[in-house]
Amino acid sequence: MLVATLFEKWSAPVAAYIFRLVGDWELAHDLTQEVFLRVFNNRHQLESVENQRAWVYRIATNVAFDALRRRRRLAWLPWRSDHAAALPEPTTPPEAVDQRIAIERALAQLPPDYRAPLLLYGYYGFSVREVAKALDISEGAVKTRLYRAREQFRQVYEKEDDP
Amino acid sequence: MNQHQRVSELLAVYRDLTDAERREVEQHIQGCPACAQKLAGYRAMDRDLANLKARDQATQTALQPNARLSRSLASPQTTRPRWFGWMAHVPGLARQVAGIAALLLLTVGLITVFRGPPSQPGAGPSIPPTQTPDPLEAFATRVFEPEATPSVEATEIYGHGTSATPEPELPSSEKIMTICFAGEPSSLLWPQDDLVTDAAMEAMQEPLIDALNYGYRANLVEKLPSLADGDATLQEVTISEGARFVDAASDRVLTLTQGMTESFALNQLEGEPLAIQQWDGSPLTTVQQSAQWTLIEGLTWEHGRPVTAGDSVFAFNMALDPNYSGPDLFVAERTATYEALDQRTMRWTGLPGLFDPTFFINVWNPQPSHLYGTLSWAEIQRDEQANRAPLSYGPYKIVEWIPGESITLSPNQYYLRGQPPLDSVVIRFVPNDANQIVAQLASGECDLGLQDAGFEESLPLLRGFEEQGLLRVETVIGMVFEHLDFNLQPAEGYAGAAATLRDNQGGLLFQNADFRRAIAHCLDRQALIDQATNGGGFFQHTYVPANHPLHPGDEAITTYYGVSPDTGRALLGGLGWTDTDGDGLLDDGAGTRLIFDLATRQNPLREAATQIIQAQLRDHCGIEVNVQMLGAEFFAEGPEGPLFGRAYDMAEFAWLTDAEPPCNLYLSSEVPSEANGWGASNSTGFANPAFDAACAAALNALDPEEKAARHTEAMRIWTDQLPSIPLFARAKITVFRPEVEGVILDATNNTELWNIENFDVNR
Repeated sequence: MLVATLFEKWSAPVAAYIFRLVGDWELAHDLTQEVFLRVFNNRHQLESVENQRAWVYRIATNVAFDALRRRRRLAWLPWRSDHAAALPEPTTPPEAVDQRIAIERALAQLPPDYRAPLLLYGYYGFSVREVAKALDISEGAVKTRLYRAREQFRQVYEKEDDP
Repeated sequence: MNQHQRVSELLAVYRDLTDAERREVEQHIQGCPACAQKLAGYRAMDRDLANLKARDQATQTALQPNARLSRSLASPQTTRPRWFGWMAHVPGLARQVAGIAALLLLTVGLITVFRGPPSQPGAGPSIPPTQTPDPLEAFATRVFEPEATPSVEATEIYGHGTSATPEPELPSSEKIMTICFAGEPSSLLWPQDDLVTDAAMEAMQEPLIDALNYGYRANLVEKLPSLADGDATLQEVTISEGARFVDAASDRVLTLTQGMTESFALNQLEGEPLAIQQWDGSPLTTVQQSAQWTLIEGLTWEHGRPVTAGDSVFAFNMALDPNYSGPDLFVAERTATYEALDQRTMRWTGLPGLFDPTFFINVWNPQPSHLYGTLSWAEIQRDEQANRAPLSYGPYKIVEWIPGESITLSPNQYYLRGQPPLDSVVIRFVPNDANQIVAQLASGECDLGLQDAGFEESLPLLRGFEEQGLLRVETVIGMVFEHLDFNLQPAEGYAGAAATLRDNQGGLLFQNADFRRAIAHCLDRQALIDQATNGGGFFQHTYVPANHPLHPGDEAITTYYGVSPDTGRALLGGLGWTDTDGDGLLDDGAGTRLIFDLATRQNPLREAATQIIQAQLRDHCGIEVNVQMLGAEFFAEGPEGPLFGRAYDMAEFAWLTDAEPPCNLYLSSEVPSEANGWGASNSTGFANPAFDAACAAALNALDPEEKAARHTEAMRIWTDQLPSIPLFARAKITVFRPEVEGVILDATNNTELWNIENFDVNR
């Protein structure tokens, strides 16, 4: 598949995925450009890649994690309330906003190693096999991380959701 | 690890279990309520995350490659296949021919491709990205390559599908449908009154009431109001000085004032309208209608705010803005009140005197009053969001609109019928070229091509694709019917054949019903349909098609005109027109030949149809016809316009039929003239009191049996007198790929997207 076509199809979901990893839309957009530049530079691999989507997300994950490392935010990523305030939802019912914020906060508090598989599995509907390819880990490791991610997410979410 | 812990971990990947794991989980959770609860929690967690994704993607601005990436993408590796550019630059007719030729070539090549390539084993279809593929080869590869088999066996459990990976192409598990339009809406601002806007808005603001199968169906209101149910009323009211009312004679809104000199008529509960020549100031009685509707509970705008009756009232109020112009203006102006009774209930009350048999559809589709309630219509017309991204309460909402390219839609999480099956809908614009759309359907770039493409000319090709299982073609009798009008009442000063040719009794030939019947017998309308529409038309005998619920059946329409040149010639001979000089053409024996003009609005279908008519009349009956292909002036209002100025001999054009048979088109009151400002429909000049009476009674009847009987009577008179020869109903044609599910083409709904919430792709 042509890189331009890949960009057209996947830049939006990749940017959203990266945003959920790095918590910053502007950075996510910059990193998405970086992702597709790397895809372009490695385009000779495209034909031999078994699963192009997983391959692109693997690059996206690496780019996002690199950025996080650079920013020394591996351990914990704070919720960026300024972005929530900027979103144009003046008339969303308050309870829906509360629930969304609780979900976003819970997600943001997961370590990236857990957040990434949970996003890929729950957010994008990847299979375990695809998650394994995207993160370059074994399927067994995906299952373990997903279980831990879900439990941690649930605990944080319940705490966030408490009034 | 004990079994409970093992099952707990399996629950975290509940979509990806093997059969053995699934059995283990099912057995375990039967005795473990906490595990069942955990599974439900994980599924809810994934739903929340998926919703978050939809919102993330919807709130992003469209990402464009930056300068560095653009430079890379602009390298030769990313150029489109050569065939694309080749198709795009061949102009007009040549491109059509070239496109069809290419597709036919591919169709022929299809069998070979399916049987397997003759090349050596292992030679796969993939083309290295740095190599520009041969245009036809690339096309064929993309179109005909069998679907890749998923590499992981699908596991369906707990209601979720698997996301096993197809390879090597398009591995996304997202369900995206690309719908190709031949036209791009100029705006999505209400009211929508063209095909493409109507189609696009079905996804965001589907109507409260659907027109389906020549009837109406409550869609987002609980029911249609009716007199029998008590949620509609028809009662007698008294009007006096200052009252606004609807004149039954002219449908105009008048004000009752002392000294008014106009005559008028008032509808009555029983009997004929009361005719008033001059009002003497005493109170008058007439009728008044009202009806109420309740919005379905749960109807919600895309950001979570409920849709209210107030939103519907807001849309009505906008229709009364002096700058507003829309199809609902007629009813709005004849409305006494339109009010919200509570959060979900609206009530309409017509002006005194209005008698509207379809009162039950006089409801306004809601518009977001919380966004635009303080604006005038002129301000709303300038509002970017109202024009480009109208707020949705339908199954999908707008993510982005790239002018000249596409509109992208994502699911509206607040849609009251639940999440639609598709993750994304892309409306792509492929301007005015049915062949391009056919090519893109065949290649998979389009999943569905809408009727606005005009697939009639491509039907044989499409049928070929259909036979190969590559595409599906759906046709249904549409509401548009082509017909051949005779000018029975030429305007004063018109000197054409309709005003000069005479029968042997001295009467105008075109006014003689036998002349019109003779013309019908001289035509082979089925051959015309086959040749002009490639079989994409449906024969009809009257002004409604055969599948219309109020079509009385051929046996009830007493006059049927089959192809019979001998009968036609005999009828013409009886009027004094025979071939007296042996030149093969009819004449009156006094040196005048039977020659007249046939005018139409220029377009390919009508050009073909009129030329066939010309040939048939000459060959079958010796009648000479001059075809006049006219531009937009053909439909111009009278007295200047030829058609509605009654300055023509014979004309070919189309009318729309409806749930109510359009007999009103041929009422004597509808003959365009100075008296009615030339703004009327009956260009034939047909004036028949018995027909007028039957038609008026049919239109005003509330009792279904009475309505049907009166329409039958009107059609019987009309087909006997034949002021116009129905030619054919145009087929609605839509084309889609075999994996598309849920498309139901309806005869009376304007768009095939009326149930877009059910569309799915099964790739």
